[in-house]
Amino acid sequence: MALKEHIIDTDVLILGGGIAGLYAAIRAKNKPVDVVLVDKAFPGRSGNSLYASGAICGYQAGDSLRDYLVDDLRTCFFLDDQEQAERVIEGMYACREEMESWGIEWVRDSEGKIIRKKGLGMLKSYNIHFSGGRRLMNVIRGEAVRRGTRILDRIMITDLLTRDGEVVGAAGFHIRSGEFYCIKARSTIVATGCFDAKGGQPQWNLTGDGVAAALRAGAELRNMEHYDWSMGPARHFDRSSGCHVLLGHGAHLVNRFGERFIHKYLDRFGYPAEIGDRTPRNIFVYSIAQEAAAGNGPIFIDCRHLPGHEIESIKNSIPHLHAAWVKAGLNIKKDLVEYTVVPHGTTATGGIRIDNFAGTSVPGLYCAGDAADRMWAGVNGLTGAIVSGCWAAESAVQRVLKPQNVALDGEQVGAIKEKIYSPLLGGTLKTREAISQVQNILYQEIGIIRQAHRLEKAIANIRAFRREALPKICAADFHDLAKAHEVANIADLIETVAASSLFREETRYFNIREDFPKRDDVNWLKWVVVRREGGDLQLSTVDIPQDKVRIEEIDWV
Amino acid sequence: MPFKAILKHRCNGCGTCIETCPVDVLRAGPDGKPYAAYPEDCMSCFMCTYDCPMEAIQITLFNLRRTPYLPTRELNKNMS
Repeated sequence: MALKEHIIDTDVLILGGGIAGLYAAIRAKNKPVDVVLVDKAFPGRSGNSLYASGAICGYQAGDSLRDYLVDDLRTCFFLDDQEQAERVIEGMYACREEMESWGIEWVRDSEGKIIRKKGLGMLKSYNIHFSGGRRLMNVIRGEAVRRGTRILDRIMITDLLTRDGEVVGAAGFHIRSGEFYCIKARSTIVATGCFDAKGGQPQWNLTGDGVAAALRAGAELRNMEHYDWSMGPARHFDRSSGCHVLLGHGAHLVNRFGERFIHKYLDRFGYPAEIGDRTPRNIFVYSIAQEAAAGNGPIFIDCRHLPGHEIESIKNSIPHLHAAWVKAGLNIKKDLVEYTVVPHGTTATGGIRIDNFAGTSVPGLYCAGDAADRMWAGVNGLTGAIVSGCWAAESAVQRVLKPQNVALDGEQVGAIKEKIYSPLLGGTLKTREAISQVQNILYQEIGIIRQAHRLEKAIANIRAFRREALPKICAADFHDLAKAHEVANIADLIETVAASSLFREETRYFNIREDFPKRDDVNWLKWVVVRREGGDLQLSTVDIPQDKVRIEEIDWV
Repeated sequence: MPFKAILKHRCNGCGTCIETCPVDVLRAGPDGKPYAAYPEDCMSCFMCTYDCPMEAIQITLFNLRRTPYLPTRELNKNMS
């Protein structure tokens, strides 16, 4: 087919236009480098950043950094990289001022003081809030554009380009015109966000495209077993959950008898009762599942006991969700709001392993935001995205400023081009059916509560899907073609989730194992690392460094 | 499905919704105004309604209870 081809040359290529990618662009443009940012949709209205509950790490001068770090490590069950977590916490404070100078407003009380709330899992640390992901993204996009970032919308990147073991750019196609894009770059930053199977809370265009491409290019992924779940309003869902804000302001979770129930399940995870209902997501998800199994569902968010100023603060922090409830006749001062479990609530999954400078295991490739392996659970994904975006920009620019020759592998580009368009040429498996199959494997077979036999079955099924079903996929048009490639990415990543989950023989964070129900701090203070080599997954473990906080110092129960 | 309608009499043809829909539901029709080319892809994110200056788009909230994505092994009938 005679489609136009675009060959682009740039210094820094950023894949993904959510907050991580756009913040990286802003930072990169502080230096005299050319920056191209590519997104499957419209940066500023694309990705999960828009649906953030409005909370950001509130660490500031005078706080104890260690308190924040301990909260973070307890919330992710010691899976975080301690040095990175500390740098994220401190880094966010450094970014607050510039964000405010650009026009982002933190929620303040009637005296003008920034309101601080303890978020999920937090006993001694605080979040601050901004009202609305849309304003956040308007401001951030504006800053990126103002500095001269070249933004290319509606382009799905299907593959990273490599040569001599280094990443030299990326290739893809425009999801409306179908035109081919081949972008050569001295540094490439993957900021394509988290991964889900087009059914969970995240926007359905978050299919782990950059993570899957990096996996195929030989990069190491880490913590993939922690594919996560969260909760959302059962009947009034607008893509945001509000749970960080609601639980942070003191709301309770109750079952259909009006009873609070999370406390019954804290022991299983060893979390202190002091946390109340403000638990890490794995605990409340598990608790909801157990209540449902016991016949006590559905469950509800209960704000009826909260004083007026807390209700006001909630309204200011999640304005659209609250307005939707008001429109539906719900008054949170008097009514319970039904909630349910939803796949992939947030950003607690693993992803591409990064070092302290957002570098990956492949030279020329950097990663920021949810696409990276970052627990930062207590610190939250938005915070991590902003700070890691800064790291990635600095590293990417440093590489650009060193003299180097970047060349493409022509044969590789040709092969990618053929692969991109082949579903248009025929096939029997429609994308809708393909998506349904991978959803079943992720949401049902892997699910929340896992077990060896079911995981083995999930692995066998996803491998069979990749081997037999995917080659038959067909696409009706370019819009559908994007879905065909999304399904391939989802399938690649589901395999890493199931394999890593089977490998980790204990329950920790979102690896909730029926057959290994306890957390094993003797044998499993390790990260599960996975990479693809010659078509097969290679799994290994790395001991988690305990340089700043030792496991004995965490206030488990 | 969540995508309900474009109210043509209110729409001023600014094209913002076509430009910004994250899942490419909307395209420009022959009259220059948007139409839902892929309504089945709408996920109730509300980006289009927020940005529409004319309140010309109708979307319903997503009903999570009706999705096939809730894990049926873990959540029994009481949740749905």
